[in-house]
Order: sequence, then C-alpha cells, then structure tokens
Amino acid sequence: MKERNVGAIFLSPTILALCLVILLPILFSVSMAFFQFDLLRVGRGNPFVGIGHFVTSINNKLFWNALGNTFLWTAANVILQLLTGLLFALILNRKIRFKVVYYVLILIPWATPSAVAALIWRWMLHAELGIINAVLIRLHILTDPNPWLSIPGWAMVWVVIARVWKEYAFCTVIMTAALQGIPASLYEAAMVDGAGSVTRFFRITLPWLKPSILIATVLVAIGSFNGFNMIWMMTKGGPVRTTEIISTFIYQTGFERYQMGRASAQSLVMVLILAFMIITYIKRMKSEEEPFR
Amino acid sequence: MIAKNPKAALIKSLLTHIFLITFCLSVNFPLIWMAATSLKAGSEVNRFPPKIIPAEPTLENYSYVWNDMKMSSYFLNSVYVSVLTVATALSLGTTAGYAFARFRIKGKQGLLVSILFFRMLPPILFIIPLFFLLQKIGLYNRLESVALSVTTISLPFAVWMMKNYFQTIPGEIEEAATIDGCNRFQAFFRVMLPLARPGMAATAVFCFLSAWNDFLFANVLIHSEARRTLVVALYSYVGEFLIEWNKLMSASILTMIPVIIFFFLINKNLFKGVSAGSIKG
Amino acid sequence: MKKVVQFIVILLFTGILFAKGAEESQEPEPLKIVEVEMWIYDEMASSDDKAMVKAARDFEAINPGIKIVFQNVPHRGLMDKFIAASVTGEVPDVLHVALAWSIELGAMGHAEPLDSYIGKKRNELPPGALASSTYGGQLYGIPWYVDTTALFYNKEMFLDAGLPLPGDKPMSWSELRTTAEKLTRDLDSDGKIDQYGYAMRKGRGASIAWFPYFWANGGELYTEDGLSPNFNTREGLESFRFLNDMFTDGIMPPGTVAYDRWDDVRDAFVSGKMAMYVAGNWEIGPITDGASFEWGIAPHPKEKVRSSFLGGSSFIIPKKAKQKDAAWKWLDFLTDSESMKYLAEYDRIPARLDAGKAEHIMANPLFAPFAAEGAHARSHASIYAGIIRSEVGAAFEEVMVTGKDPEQALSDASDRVKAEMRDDMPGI
Repeated sequence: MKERNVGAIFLSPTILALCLVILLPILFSVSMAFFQFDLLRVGRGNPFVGIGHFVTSINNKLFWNALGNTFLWTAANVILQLLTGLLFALILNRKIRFKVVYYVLILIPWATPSAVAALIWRWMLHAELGIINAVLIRLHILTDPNPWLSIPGWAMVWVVIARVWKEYAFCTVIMTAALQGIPASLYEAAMVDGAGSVTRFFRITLPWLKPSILIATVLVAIGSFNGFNMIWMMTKGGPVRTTEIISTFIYQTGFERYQMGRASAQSLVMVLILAFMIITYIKRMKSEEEPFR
Repeated sequence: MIAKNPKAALIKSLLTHIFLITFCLSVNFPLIWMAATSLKAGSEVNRFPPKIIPAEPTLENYSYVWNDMKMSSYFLNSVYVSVLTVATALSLGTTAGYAFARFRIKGKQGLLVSILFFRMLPPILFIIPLFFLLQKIGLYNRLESVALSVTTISLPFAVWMMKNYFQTIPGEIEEAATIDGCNRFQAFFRVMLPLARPGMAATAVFCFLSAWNDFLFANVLIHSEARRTLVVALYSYVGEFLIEWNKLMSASILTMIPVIIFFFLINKNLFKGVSAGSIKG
Repeated sequence: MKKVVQFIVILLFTGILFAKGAEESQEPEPLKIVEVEMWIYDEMASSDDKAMVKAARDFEAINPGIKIVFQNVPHRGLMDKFIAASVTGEVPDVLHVALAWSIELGAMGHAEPLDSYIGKKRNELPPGALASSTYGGQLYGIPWYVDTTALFYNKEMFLDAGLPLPGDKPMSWSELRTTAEKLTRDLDSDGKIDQYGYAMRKGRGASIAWFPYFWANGGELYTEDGLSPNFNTREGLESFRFLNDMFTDGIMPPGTVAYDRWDDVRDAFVSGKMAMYVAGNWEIGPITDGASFEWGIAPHPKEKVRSSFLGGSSFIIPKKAKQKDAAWKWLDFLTDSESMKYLAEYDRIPARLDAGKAEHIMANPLFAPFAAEGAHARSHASIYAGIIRSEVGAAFEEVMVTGKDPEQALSDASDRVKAEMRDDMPGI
C-alpha cells in the first residue's frame, strides 16, 4: 500500500469527525461577526454589518483593557503552571517510596469541579473570615485582614494562584509522560563522561522535553485565553475590571448585552491574536535543532 | 544512581519526602476543608464562628445526595459520557498523531495548526449552532452528543500529544517490525501502541477529566433530568441566594472520587519502563 | 492497562447497579394524555415528597387529561440553556424564570404573550409584579412568588448603644444615617472600630441595594419614552451618594468592598461585625440558623416615598411550546389562591394580593414585614436590566475601591448604559 495512502487512512477519521461536528458550527459563529445578531432584535431582521462590529470593539477601550489583562493572566499561568509541572514531574521521576501516593495527591486539585474550586478559594480569601488572612495575621505579616479579591492588582495575583492550583497537574502529567521516553542509556553514557546532574538536565532532559514544553505552553495559553469559571466566580472581572479577561468580556457582550454579533467579532479578534502568537512561537521552537531527527 | 555517600543520599531522600509531604498537605488543604464541611449537619454550616472540624460529624449529607438527590443515577450518565469520550478521543488522537509523526502528508504543518484552531474559539460562542446541528442529525438530548462535543474539543490536545510521543520512539522499531513481516497497520497496533502507553495515559487522563467535569455541553445539550451528569446536578447546590455548603461539598467529593481512583489506576501506564530495551535483540 | 479496563468495567457495573430511573420508561398511554413539560430550578420538584410534585398530582386529579412532567434544572446557566433550546424549538411547555427575566425573553421573542390567557386573573396579582413582566404592552410572564427586602437589625447592639429599637414606621435616610453612626463603635477602646452600623453588597449586588433607595427618592430608571437612562439626576446622585458616603465615612465595614454575595453580608451581620443591612425574606432561614443574638426586621428605609426591591420568580410559556393551552391550565392552578399553600415548604411569599392570608405567611411573624413591603416593592426588570446592574455596580466599585468622585462615576455609568441601549427599543 502506498505510504501516502496509509497515512491518509490513519488521519481521516479524525479530520472527518472534526469537520462533521465542529467545523460547521464554528463557521456559523464566525459568520455571525459580520451580521448584526442582536438577540433582542432577531425577530426584527438581521442585517449585514460588514466590519461594523470590529470597528466598535476596537474603539472600545474596555476591550483593550480586557485583552491586556488576558496577556498578563496568560503569561502568569503559562510560566507558573509549566514550572510547577516540570518541577514535580522531575522530582517524581526517580525511585521514591510511595511515589504513586504522592503523585495522586499532587493531581487531586485538578479533579475539583471549577465552580467549586472558585468558591473554595473565595472563601479562603474572605476579607474577615478567610483562612488566608488568619494565617497572614498569625505570621505577623499583616495587622489587619485584607479584602484580597477587591484590591486592584492583588485580585489578579490571587485568581492566577487559584487557577495555577487547579491546573498545574496538566503540565505535570504531560512532562511525566514525556520523561518516560528518555532512554536511560543516554544518562548512563553522560555520567560515564563525567557530566554532573545540572549538565545532564540541560543537555539531555530539557532538549528531550522541548516538544512537550511546546504543546504544554500552547495548550495552557489557549486554556487561559478561554478560562472563564475561575475568574467569573471569584471576581466577575472586578475589582474595577482589573481581572476582566477577554472571555468574561465576550460573555457579557453576548449574554448580558445580547450582542452576539459583536461577541463573535471580539472572539475572532482574540483568536487571530492568539493564533498569531502561537504560530510565531511554534516557528521559533521548530527552527532550533530537534534531537534525534 | 551511584550514591557517593550513603548518608548524603539519606538526607537528600528525607528532604525530598519532607518537601513532598508539605506540598501535598498545603495543596490539598482546600480539600481537607471540603471534606470537613461535608460532614457537617445543616444547622452547623451557618453557625458563627466557623469551625473547621465539625462538632457533630455526620454522613447524612452523603446519604441525602446519593439517594434523595439521585446522584446514583447521574453517576452512570457521567461514566458513560466520560468513557465514550476517552475511547473516541484516544482512538482518533492516536491514529492521527501517528499519521502526523510518521508519514509525509501534504500541508502537514498547516493541518496541525488548524486543528489547534478548533480549541481557540470560546465554546460558548458556537454552542447554539452546535446544538442546532446535533438536533438536526438526530442527536437531540442524547449523552452521545455530549461525548462527541467534548471529544472534538479534546482532539487537538490528543493529536499533538500522541504526535509528540510517537516522534520520540525511534523509527528503527517499526522498520524491525516490517522486516519481520508485519504491514504498517500491524506494526502500529502490535508494536507502536504498547510503546506509546505513557502518552496515551496522559491523553486519557486529560480527556476523562474534560468530560467528567464538563458543565457547558452537558447543561445545554441535555434536556432530561434523568440524563444529567454529576457536575450538572452539583451546580444545583450553587444557589443565587444561598449555598448549601455541606451538601455542595459532599456532592463535590462524590464527584471527585472516581477521578481520583482513575488517577491511581492510570499511574501504572504513565510510569512505564523506557523503550530502550525494545531495540535490543 | 488491564487494571484500567477492569476499573471501567467495575465503574459501569456499579453505576448500573445503583442507577434508579436512569432510563426513562415508555409506557403506552391508553387515554389521550397531554404532557406538559416544566423546567423548574432550585430543585423544587426533585423528589416525590416536594410540594411542587404534590401540586402536580392535585392538579392532575382535577384535570385527568393532563400530566405534568418536571425537569429540574440548575439555575446557573439556565438562560443560556433556554436560549439555545428555543433556537431549535426543543423547549418545555413551561419555564420557571427569575422575575426579571420574562421581559428579556419576551422582547427576544422566546416567550408567548399571556394577555389572551390571563383574563380576570390579572386583578388578583400585584400590579408591580405584572408590570415587571410586561413589555410593549404585552404580558410575557405570570408571577409566582415574590421576595421583598427590608431592614434586618441586631437588637442587642441597639440596646447596648442605648438606642430605641426600630418600630413599625420606616426610618428616613437621616434617621438611618444617625442610627448607623451611633452603632459604629470602638467597643474595647483600642482605637479600632469593632462594630459598624450598616453594610451592603458590592458590585452588581450594590445596584440591587441601591434601586429601592433611588425609587424612594422619586427616581425613575428611564425617561418617559424609555429610550434613555434617567438616573444621572439629582434623585440618582443623592441616593448614590447616600450609600457611598456611609462607606467613605467609615460607617460600613472596610470589607464591604469584598461582599460579593448575600452570604458575605449575612456573615458580617451574624458575626457581629455590623448592626443593620437590607436584604430579603430569603435571609430568614440562614440568619435563624446562624445568629446567636436577638435580631429583628424593620421596614425598608424611605425618603419621599416607601420602596423595596421586588424579586422572586414567574413562569413563561415558551413561544415554541407545543401544549400552550394545557400549560396555561397548570399555571392558572399554580397561581390560584388555594395553591398558595404549596409555597409554604419553600418559605416563599406568593405573588398575589391576598398573600397576607396564606396560612404559612400568617403563621410566621417574620414574614409579615416582607409581605407588607409588597405593596410598594418595585422590580428593576427591563430589557437592559442586566446592563444597568452591571454598570451601576461598576460605579459603586469605582467609588469604594478607587475613590472616584461619585458624580463622575454615576455619570459615566449612565453614559455606558446609554451606549448599549438600542435606539428603537425602550427599556420597559
């Protein structure tokens, strides 16, 4: 059988599934951006508006505020989740007693339903009754409790921490799986050559992990751009819109102001920016030498 | 690893354990609080000052949630959706990932990136046209539609993850298999798949969680209460005016237990031995 | 891998073993029975011993050709779920909605006008509740139960400060302010205030607290033609300032900026952090459970007129519903005088003019003040209600968190609301 055809056979079910199920709805949503799609008015006609929605959104400084917050939120999430995931994947990659128990314990926050996680974190950060304030006061770092989620700046810090808490297991699992693929012989050879553990990490482990770091970064970035529950249930985008990210902004545009066309246009702008960032990133990573290829 | 000094190795090991234990305890503190709250009776929940440990622990919340609130039936629905999602996403993702890893495909880079696109658009935007389409093809109010939706948004991850994983397995292994008389398909199923277990395990965990904890699709696509999933039932405890914390926490813990068990079991496959041995001989 | 497969099999087996009613039974009906499907939230019909289910059985006994089928749905995400459903036509015959939603759904064309059904029933229901379900002259929802707001206060704090307890007459704003000031005290003379006089929610919740003050001051949310917001006025600014000043002047706890949900304000009350707050009858249960001190309920403060916040829920019949006539018969039954008793289990006040005569209302003295507010309670329902709540809430936040000038904040909020209003669609 021709090699090309075999490849196509392996690939086609996936492409078919995606096209049949998701492609049409996505194309429809994309087309909504060029029509009025005012939910309050759908019964009265749906005129073509061209790039009207794009112009309105780009002129809205709150849209840019949301995008700016989203970049901050995403960068923080990517860096912290990657580092934490990598750290624990490395630590647990050795022979340790009770490894499995530790591993499961580390993964548990990932299993929490996001609405519940958000509520728990809100409770812990409660201005007067929260445990975080209680601990900080006990440690004499604070004298009075702080309403953390209502302090511009700090609110973003805490929602990031809450989300990293919930999601770092994702990177941990990816990195762990990747680490399994590194042949032990490479390390043995390196040690024979006298390489210390730091050198082994940077010359063997890290290059092997590059593709996984790539996919983890991309997916965490996409997940952060779309992340909704944590912020919506902890701060609703407050205080004074300092934690308003593009996904909560789009939700409000579409389901509070009932402007679905505009929400679609905003989503498109977001996707284009995200896609541009991701493609640039992938190109950059791919241009460096891939090991063993 | 050769320990230069057994004492140093012991200290290192001790420190590692202390670090891990401290981390695990602090990271799971919210869940310890959850468990404690789930054991409180209704009157204790709103009492002030709030105490972490319940004065009169009781299992009545669990019994209420499981029986009166029919969590037991919703459990089956969640299992069905999640198992279907994992099976489908894993099959599709593994085959497609293999295709991308091993074959020359026209426009490979473009296809790979386009697959990512499906993940970028906020689901809330296309849920209405998706519901419309699913109804037209006869999948209205069926759990399969939830599994299908979650599968398609999990596919980008599955494909990329498996592609990466297959790329780390040396090509010589398949060559050896084809020399031994297998065709490409047999080589895939008999040789490559077993080697790709850690990648598949990671993908399985992700897909399972996405399906198990999904609210958006399960809420919008399913109209019958009998076909609710666990998470949708869970949200009914998050009221506008009042949260019944004790019931919410016991429902949450019940929702989390199967996932934790799944974590335990998937471990074996995640921490597999390396592929180095498969080339020898 | 084997273990995983075993686990999945066990999971499935366990699930099947425990599953009760996971499959819907399809029995052929001998009679021609019309099924009315109803979506209800807050798990009000989630088991056979709940009052709503009993109501359905009582109704079916009198109407043998109709069967009521409940689907309990979560309140969260219900609007999204229903709008998606409405687009495809797979809608229930009756939808339980929050009081403010029927206008929005009606304007969007998802709700059937009920004018032809309601007839004389109209005269039995509170006009405020009916008005809040009407758009463009058409009635889209039938009110079922109402919540109103009044002033909760800590009796012991009043006595401790040597103040007379609030009586049956509503306090004026200046009385409220002076009382709150006197109740803001440093109890242990350590220079720090331990107890505050008043508190309210922040953000969108602040809007809900503000509306009755605004109305009490003679304000109206929209201009006559309904095409512009009308709260950037003297009435608006006075009421806006009144509440904000209590925070800025230190009569409210500093944590007020973080009181996102009702639970948060209630916790402050129950923990003795502050003495008074305005909330609705839904608070009665939790406060009874949580407070270790004596507390009371006083009428909502007034200024030029009396006012209170009207919430609650109503029913709509979706436009694409298949059994509209049968659905109406059910709704007619549910909103009758004899059906008020079904609301007893849920601690709700029926949306009827004779609510004061319902058994459970008469039996619980704590309901009386709320039922009394019903006469002048108003709803903020309009097609732009969500936008107003969110923008005015943002204005409160700007003042409380960043110290923005109240006049500027309110004016900016009004501009933002105006920008979202459609030129040809009045708010109400």
